[in-house]
Amino acid sequence: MSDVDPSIALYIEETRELLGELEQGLLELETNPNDTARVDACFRAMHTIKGGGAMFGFEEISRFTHDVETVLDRVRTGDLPVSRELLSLTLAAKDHILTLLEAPRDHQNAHRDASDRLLASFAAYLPGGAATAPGHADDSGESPILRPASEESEYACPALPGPPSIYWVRLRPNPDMLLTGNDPVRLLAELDTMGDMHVLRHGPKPALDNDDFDPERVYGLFDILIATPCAVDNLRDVFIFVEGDSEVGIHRLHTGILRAADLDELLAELKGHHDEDLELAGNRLEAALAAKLAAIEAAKQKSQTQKGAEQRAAPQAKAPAAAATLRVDAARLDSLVSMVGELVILQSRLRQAAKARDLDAVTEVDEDLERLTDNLRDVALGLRMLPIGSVFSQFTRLTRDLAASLGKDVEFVAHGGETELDKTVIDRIKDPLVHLLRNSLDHGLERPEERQAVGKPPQGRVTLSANHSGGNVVIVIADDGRGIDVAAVRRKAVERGLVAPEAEPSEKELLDCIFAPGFSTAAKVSDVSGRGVGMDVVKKNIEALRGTVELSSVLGQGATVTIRLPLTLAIIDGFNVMVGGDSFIVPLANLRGFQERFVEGQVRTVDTIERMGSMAPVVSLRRLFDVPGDQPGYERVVITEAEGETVGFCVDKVIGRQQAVIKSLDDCYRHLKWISGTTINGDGSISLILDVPQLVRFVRGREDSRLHAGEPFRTLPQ
Amino acid sequence: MELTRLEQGGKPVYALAGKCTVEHAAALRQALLEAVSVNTVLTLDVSGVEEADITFLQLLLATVLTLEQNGGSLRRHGSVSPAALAAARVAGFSHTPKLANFFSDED
Amino acid sequence: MAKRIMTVDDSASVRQMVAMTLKKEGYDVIEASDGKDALSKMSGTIDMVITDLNMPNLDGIGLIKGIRAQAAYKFIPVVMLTTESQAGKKAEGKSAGATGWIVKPFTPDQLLAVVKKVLR
Repeated sequence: MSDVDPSIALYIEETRELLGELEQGLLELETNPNDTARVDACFRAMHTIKGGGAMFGFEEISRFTHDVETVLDRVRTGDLPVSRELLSLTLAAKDHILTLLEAPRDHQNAHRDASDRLLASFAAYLPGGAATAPGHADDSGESPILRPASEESEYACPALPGPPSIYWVRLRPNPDMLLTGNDPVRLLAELDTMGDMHVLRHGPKPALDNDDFDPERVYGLFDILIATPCAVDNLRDVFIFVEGDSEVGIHRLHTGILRAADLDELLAELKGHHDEDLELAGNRLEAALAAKLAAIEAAKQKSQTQKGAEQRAAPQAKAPAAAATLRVDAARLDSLVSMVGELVILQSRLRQAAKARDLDAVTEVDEDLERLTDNLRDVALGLRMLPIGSVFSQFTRLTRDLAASLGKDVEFVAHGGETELDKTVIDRIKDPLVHLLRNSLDHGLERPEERQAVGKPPQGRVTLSANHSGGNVVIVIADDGRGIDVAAVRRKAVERGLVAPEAEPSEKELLDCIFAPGFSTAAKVSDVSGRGVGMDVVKKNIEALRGTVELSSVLGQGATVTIRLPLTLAIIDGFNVMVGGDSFIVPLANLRGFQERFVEGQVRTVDTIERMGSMAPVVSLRRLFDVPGDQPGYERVVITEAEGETVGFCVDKVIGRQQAVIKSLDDCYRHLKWISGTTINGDGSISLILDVPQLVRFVRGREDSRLHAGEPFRTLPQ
Repeated sequence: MELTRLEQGGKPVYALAGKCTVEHAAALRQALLEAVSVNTVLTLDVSGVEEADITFLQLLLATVLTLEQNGGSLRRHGSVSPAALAAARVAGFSHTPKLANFFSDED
Repeated sequence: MAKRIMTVDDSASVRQMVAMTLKKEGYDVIEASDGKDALSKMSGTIDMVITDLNMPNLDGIGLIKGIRAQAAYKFIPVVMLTTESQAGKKAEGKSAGATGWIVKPFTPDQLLAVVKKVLR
């Protein structure tokens, strides 16, 4: 059964998603218990999880979800009201299913006790409030027992031990049987595989020109005698889909063998009696058989010992480690495939042009190829894009549970869940977001009574939003809590030596101290946060994603954390600039324009230039990176913007726009500041990608101290 | 499904071929009605029948009945295709008196 | 020519399992994620449909009715995927024109047994 393994990985992924939807649905039901569409969606999620569980070897999930599904079904049909207790219980069940999903499948039983404890709570919601035996669904004998043919049997069913039996089977098809896609011929052909069969077709026979004759209806009935080693259930399974609509009778007439001619003779007894009911016809057959048996006393039973029915064990393949998979919108895949088609065409055009030494044609192909490559890149990167909402929804639950444990009343609002981000970025932004949310709830928001005392509504509010801005995704976490006491931050910063006692740092600089390692103003350490570990990690994590994080606050009114993230980590659009023989890439997202300056005398690492009527700092990349070569008298200045500040970079030449496939720096170069990576150019040379935000911060730090002509920096350690 | 009129030794033979299933039952009935209206003795070639269900068997039976009502009969030309024979056998039509000859191994 | 079977399920894992099992047996498979999607993909030769019952947009019952309403697919086998808790649905499906059903959970062998049972 190794062939279902990829499906198992898919099941795991799908169940994770369904659990996410379930949780969201349950939480929304909490505010709006009468949303029947929501209840339906929850039921459907549980239903799908259960069905797949049994199918892909998660027996414990299937067993556990059975009752949960039943309870949700009762809610769906209106038998049960939506209550807070039920929602909490179902949320707990959701968590438990996730545990089961992530547990190794051969250790599922280890979680049985936990399952049973939860099921005991669910029992109160089951019909009659009594616990039904979990996992033992009432099949009421309706499900088909479809066994594959045993190889030992000559017939398409496992042979029972002992001599074969002779059954009388009567099928009177519903005249409209064909309208359900069934066909008596097919049913009889299946029955034929189970033994030696003799058929009498009788009953109405409409003529071709009969006005009542409808060729799409079924006429007449079939009486069958079949000598078979199969169990009666196997025969019954043949007709399982038509039972109820069509008349199906199966009776064992005799155990032992009869000659074929004898069977035909017996059948002939029924001729002309097609209107008789089963009992009458049965009696007629029994009588004829008794006479026959008496007549053929001499016939010996040929014993035909057959091996016992082989117990079909269902060996369950071990689940492979779930592969990392990604769901992709089919339309995106389609466009990718069609672009690859175009690529193939371009290649053949290029070959022809090259053969003909036709430079114009080659240029044309090049133009087309450039367009296609651009599109291809966008689509390919789009494959990795996921809506950030999948992460947001998990936070609804987090804030709910956190608020409860902190004794706070919190309304959590999320906007912009449809904003798309690279999957890698989404996976890695989750932890920082969790941390920031915890901070907001724990430190930011006041208890209801405190809030009322200062004239705020008792319920606090945390807003999480995401939106696109330029080449970035901006995520904002805002609360309406007490805000950050900048004076306290200052005291703490001075205490820790981050700020000189006599310095006059701006509020922004003080707030930045919060991101320093080990910094905390919390008076007490709670379970949730306040250990002062984390904000520095948050910042580091976000910077590792080439993102930035900023904090702002109004005392008494709340705090806001703004995170900016690049859409993707793999490719950036940039401008190639040259300094001496070195090539650099300035990310297009940061680029704001070009200026020029004339240099005389000593060049400073950081200087200023006039831009649009005000002064902007400029950095001499030549000095900063100690590029060898003569300082030209005329320089181009690349104006960039990051974190709301404008900084220019002085370079020798601007080459032009270029797409840079980012090669991240090897670990031994990680200490390099100002460089976020490298890229390989079309001619095989290497360009360094400027880390503009880092450079802006550097400039901000050096602007006042005016670092002049001293030792140029080369590899400034962090 | 296709019913084609051919000449075999100066006599008409109707060759039935393709899928003779419920989707085509109404059309086959119409084609057979036309054939029956111009032939008292109808000769069918069912060697090209690829699929057969209950409607095919019922139509054969109905054709025999109509032919016999008009004093004619149904005859077979060529072999019976495996699909047609299997259907007739499991559903008992090969032993129905009216069709036993048509499906018999002789001729 | 290989028979074409459409599998309709909002669960991608079930759909994939069904599709893989059928493809391995040499059938052509068309996938649809719900009843609405399935109806939009009903064209050309389709020899059989295997559909889930609980689906968004258009459920299995609605799909079966939609299939039966089209002359080209009036008689094709349509098998529904049900669970033991859906006895009522099964009857509803039958009266809508379903050929049969497969009780979830099922194994690839059980699936193939039903396909071979109803497919001409």
